[in-house]
Amino acid sequence: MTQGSALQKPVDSLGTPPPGPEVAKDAVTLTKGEDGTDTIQVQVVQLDKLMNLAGELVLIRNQVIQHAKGAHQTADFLNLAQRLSLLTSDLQNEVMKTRMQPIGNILNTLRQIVHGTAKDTNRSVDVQIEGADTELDKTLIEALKDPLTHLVQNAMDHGLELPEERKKCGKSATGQLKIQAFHDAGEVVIEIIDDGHGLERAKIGAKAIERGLITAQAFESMSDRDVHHLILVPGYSTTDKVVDGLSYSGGMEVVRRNVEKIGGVVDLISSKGRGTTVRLKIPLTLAIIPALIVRAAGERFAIPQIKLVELVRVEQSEDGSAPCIESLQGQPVFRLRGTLLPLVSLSAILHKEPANTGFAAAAVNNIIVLNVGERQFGLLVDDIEDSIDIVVKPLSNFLKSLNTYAGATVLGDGSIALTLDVPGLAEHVRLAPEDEPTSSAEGATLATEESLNNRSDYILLDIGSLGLYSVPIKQVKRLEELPASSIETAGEQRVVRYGDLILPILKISDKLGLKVNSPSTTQASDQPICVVVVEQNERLFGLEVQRILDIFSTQLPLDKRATDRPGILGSMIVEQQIVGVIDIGAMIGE
Amino acid sequence: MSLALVKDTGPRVDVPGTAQFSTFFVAGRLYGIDVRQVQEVVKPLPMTQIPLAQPYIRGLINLRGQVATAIGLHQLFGLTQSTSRELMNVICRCDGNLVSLLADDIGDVMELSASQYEPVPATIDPLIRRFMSGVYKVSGPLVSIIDSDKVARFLSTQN
Repeated sequence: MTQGSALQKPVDSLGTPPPGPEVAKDAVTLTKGEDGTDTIQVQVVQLDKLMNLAGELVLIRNQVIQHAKGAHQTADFLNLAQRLSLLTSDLQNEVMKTRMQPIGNILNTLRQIVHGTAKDTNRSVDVQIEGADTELDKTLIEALKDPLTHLVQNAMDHGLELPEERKKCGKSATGQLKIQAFHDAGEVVIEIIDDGHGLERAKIGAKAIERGLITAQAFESMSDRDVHHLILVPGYSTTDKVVDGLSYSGGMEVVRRNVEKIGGVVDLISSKGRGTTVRLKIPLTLAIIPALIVRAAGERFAIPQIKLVELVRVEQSEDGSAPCIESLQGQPVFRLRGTLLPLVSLSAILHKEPANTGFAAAAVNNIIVLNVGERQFGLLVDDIEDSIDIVVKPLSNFLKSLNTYAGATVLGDGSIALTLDVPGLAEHVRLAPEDEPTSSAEGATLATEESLNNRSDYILLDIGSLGLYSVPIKQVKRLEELPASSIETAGEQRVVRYGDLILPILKISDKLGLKVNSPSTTQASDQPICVVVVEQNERLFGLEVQRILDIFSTQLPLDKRATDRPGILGSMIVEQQIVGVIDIGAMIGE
Repeated sequence: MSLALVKDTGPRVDVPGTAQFSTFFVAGRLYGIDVRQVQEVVKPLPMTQIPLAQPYIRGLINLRGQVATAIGLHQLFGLTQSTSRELMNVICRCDGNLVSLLADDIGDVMELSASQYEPVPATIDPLIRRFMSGVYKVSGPLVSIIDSDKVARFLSTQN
């Protein structure tokens, strides 16, 4: 496909001129491509129409197949229906391909932005762009323009240091900024990599605590990664100064929202002093998405599968023997594997029922567990119908202010279902009680936040010495049982081969300088050893223990007074026993 | 019944001459819209309600695979009389959006001359006045002319 002016012209799929001869006249231009092959320029409007028609055909095909499998079935008809089905899928794919455009166009404008900013701020930056020919749906490319510009600007303003600073840290005066795009498992990944000073855990933590996003205790047990992700959370801002009226993380939150709007995900990887990588994962196309059709308030709604975590069916029992929906201050909650999941009823939201009317659970309840950013909530619906691929059509401009809906879709039977916008829905639930802050809907959100922030999970260990010890589960990657024979040595360090990596094995009791209980409880040489694989600063370590006892979850703060030696963060009381919490950083000698 | 292809060579309302109007009834009153603003008129269609939307946004209808937003003229004009029976759809393109104006009944397509035209009298209820571009004094009931652009502007500023 050529990159002619016809394709680059921004065209709103709905804001097209009325169909008429004036459009059709110059809709198609034939040119000879550089390599001798014929290429034509087609108006995007035309492609949008084709896409719509292909979408319609998919729906009709679905109906035909229903018919073929139904009462009228004959072998011939079924055969024909299946061929129709195949052809339709092919057609749909091909039409979708015509809407693809290389992402290079916007990546190259980013290069200009970098050069411009570098000049203004006296930075020296070397920009590398890879994967400029990666193709993505045109509408997605448009939608990515702002977030990408923002991210590159951020990397320039806050990521890369000034040349003098860089020299002090032993880096070359020229900063490296790499922008790369590539396909990965049906998604497009765009990475913006800088080799600046990276995100600072302490700084982010202090700010998040100050803003009331997390508690100091929660911060202690958070992994670096979780701390870094705090800058994506609404209400967080870490900038010391505002550059051009634009603050770093204020922008990050907007970036995340914009990327999520097109079904994408933002990820951050950063290590102090070495730089930051922002990774965007974007679906190839928005046109057709898998969705779950549910029923509530007498209407059907489509929920994009990407936001869906699981479906839970709860039967209310009178005696409370089975898990059931409970009422917390008039708001429904459900204990999902030990965690309190706040529930909202879709019918109640959509009918603006006052929050204080209380909730009456039905005999059978369908809970759809949805993911919004870092937290989850359960959506109660009347019925779950089907899981189908839908063609999402945008709503009229004047309905855009309803943030609870992302669009509309025509179902197989010709009726229309609204597509729910999950982040918008969550926002709606949270924002509704702003004028009455005591409302219980607010409580429901707070409960999630609390359960996320104050509760910490630990793994309870027997390290072969007196007393119980634990490690925060956040830093644990895996629990392994390794045959003793797999242990090798590298110098004096015991190691095992772990995939492609060499995993150092550290014995907790040795590191803490604790006596091993009695020879009888230490391992015989042929017994497998238990290893807790932990991650610290993106490196993996194996902690050897005697036995892994249990997992527990606690809201209790860590008591730091009773630490008798380095390597212990503090202790806490769990079921009337004192449990020491191991400082993984100290274990690996940081 | 598709009216979109009816090409009117006559001038618009504000220019002397004649113009064609698609007419319809809402709560017993006669309204007209310039045929060039009307795409088509269709019989009552099943509607999907949009919870939380403004009361005059009645729902979404499936117009041969296109999704149109149905606007209740009773509610929009502040006419309290609400009918439970099924309403006709006057399909317009407003500001790029496919919109169905819900009317009780459909009238004829009328050819009206500029000599019959009057600006909107000052006494008309502002709720309706803001959508009107004029009145035609025909024999029989007066025709209030609705400008779909004004409706579109209202919708986009209200939401």
